Amino acid sequence: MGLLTRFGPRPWRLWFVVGAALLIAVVPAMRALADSSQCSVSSGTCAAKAAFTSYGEHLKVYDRAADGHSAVVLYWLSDGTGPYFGWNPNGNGSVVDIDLELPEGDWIFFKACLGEYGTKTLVSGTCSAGVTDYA
Amino acid sequence: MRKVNRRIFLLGGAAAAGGAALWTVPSWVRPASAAEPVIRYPFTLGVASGDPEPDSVVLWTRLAPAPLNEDGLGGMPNTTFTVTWEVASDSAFAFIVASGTVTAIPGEAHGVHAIAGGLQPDAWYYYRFKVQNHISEVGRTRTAPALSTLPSSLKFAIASCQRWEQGWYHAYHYLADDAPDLVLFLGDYVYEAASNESTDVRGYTISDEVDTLAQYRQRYAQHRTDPNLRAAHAAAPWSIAFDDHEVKNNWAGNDPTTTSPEPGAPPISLARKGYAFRAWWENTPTRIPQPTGPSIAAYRRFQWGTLARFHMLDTRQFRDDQALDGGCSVMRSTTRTITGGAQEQWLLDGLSTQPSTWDFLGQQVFFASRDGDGDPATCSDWSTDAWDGYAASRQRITQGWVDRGVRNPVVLTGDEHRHWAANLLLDYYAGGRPVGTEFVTSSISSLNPDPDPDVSRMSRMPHVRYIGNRRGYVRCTVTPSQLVSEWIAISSAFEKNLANVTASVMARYAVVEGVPGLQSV
Repeated sequence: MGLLTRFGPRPWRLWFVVGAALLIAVVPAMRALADSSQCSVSSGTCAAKAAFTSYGEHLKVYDRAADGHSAVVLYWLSDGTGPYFGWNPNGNGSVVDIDLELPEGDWIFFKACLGEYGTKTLVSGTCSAGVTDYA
Repeated sequence: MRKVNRRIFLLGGAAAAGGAALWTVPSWVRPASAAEPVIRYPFTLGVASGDPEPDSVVLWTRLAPAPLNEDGLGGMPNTTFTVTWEVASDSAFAFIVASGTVTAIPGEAHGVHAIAGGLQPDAWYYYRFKVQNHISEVGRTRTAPALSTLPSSLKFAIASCQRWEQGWYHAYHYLADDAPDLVLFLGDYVYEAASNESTDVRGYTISDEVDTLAQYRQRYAQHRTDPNLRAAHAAAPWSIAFDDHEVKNNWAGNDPTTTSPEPGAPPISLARKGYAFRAWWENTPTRIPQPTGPSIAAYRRFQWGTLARFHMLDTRQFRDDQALDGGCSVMRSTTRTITGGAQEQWLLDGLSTQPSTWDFLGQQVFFASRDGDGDPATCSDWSTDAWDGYAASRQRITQGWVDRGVRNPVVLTGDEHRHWAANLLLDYYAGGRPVGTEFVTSSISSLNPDPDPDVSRMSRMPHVRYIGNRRGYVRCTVTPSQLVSEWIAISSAFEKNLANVTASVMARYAVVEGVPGLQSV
């Protein structure tokens, strides 16, 4: 049995061809699953919205209601850390862009919530379900 | 600047396999079938091995491209996946000695247990998994020596209590760095509890107490996101026991009317126990059969040639309910049991045969007496959850190994969130020579806010030789002539940066073959 039938060492040139083929055939399908968003849980509105864009790994936090609360995103990363808090204290109609540096393909898990920026506390019961996306 | 990791490289296989040049493509590069949709890199929870025997070891992984998804399914489609495993004698996998396939199914949260058989005894191996075009990280594992051979030494570590949010798992970095032959984990692998303490270094995504199958599964996944835990699993085979927090704090027994977590608290349901056991099994590299409902066959033993034997106990599932604090008459009842009758007999029957020099009892809760006032007429400071609360059970087992002439019994313990070293006696009030030894490992990360026993209490427990309230683990080196044990503590579990954390030997004791009890070295 030759090496190519195993997991073991393989010619790097073959990998290059295979990897290039991937970029054409596989990544677009994966990307279609990415760029997700979540809304905080509040009465009938999407008062806080968090949206992740895989390209460039941007996590945007939208404040969409003049409710006296800040919008905040909580997120966890693949290195066993989290939650990190991304605050938007700028009021209704504003957006804060968090520019992350994540390894290609790594996952991020996040929730959108309402919070009080001054005390750095969450408003109970407003966090969305979590969602996973990928860099 | 983006860091391009190996995953994008590996993903290339699927595309190429669909092309015309199939003859040039490795056979393992397999496109997804119609019934097996394309998934992202699924080995986010790492790899593990466990329960080694002379000719085989259990290999484990769990497919979870989205490990924190709150449905507990890790982002996996609701269908089966074929997972290939390989074992090699070299890290480059040029010399593959065993391989096979396993079907990962949704009903088991796509957890994989493969028994890699036909291996040589007393040998190290490398292993990895593959699904579709994804290849896992490489784990290192080994087999036990042949039953009839006497290995020159065995180096193993004991660990317990890794409450994820309470500290960083730096202890596992140092444990893995020790390159042990074996790791014994003695309970509290996950914590069911709610979290939100001001001292937490990180937080669960599900901050409430978990009690459903989905939540238990998800909590295992969150613990496994820690890179040091994954590295420790990949470094050596583990033998894992559960304690209470894998289900519910201080749960006891199988009777739903008495499985009360705390005095006065409502009993936990049998359904919840079943969920907890199932999630534990799905996430553990073990030979234990898949649990059926609220029951799991967890106690077992394995042998390390004629050098050592490990009796892995279950002191939760068959115990009588805990006494109320100060409930002396209950704790002193002669019919009381922490193991259940069947397991006690199984242990004593096993101890009647002594194929190995050292007998280790891997178990959960503190074994030696801790009567801080030294008065046998009172029991106000006895731990109702530990063996003190089941004194007759301890007495029967201790007397049992003495009667059977067990030369080197050593009890290995977790649960305490504190290091301890103690001699074991037949009568803790009368004193006398030790008839055994107990090593208690502190927690990997779980806190212990309680103060150490004061000097006066310690003076009444002369069989206790060492206490240390720092996070860490215990490493043991066993030879035919002696056992040397070192209590390791890290400088901080709160400091995130590993480069700023050190590990130190806080205590070192030896046990000489045929002479139970701790000796300074």
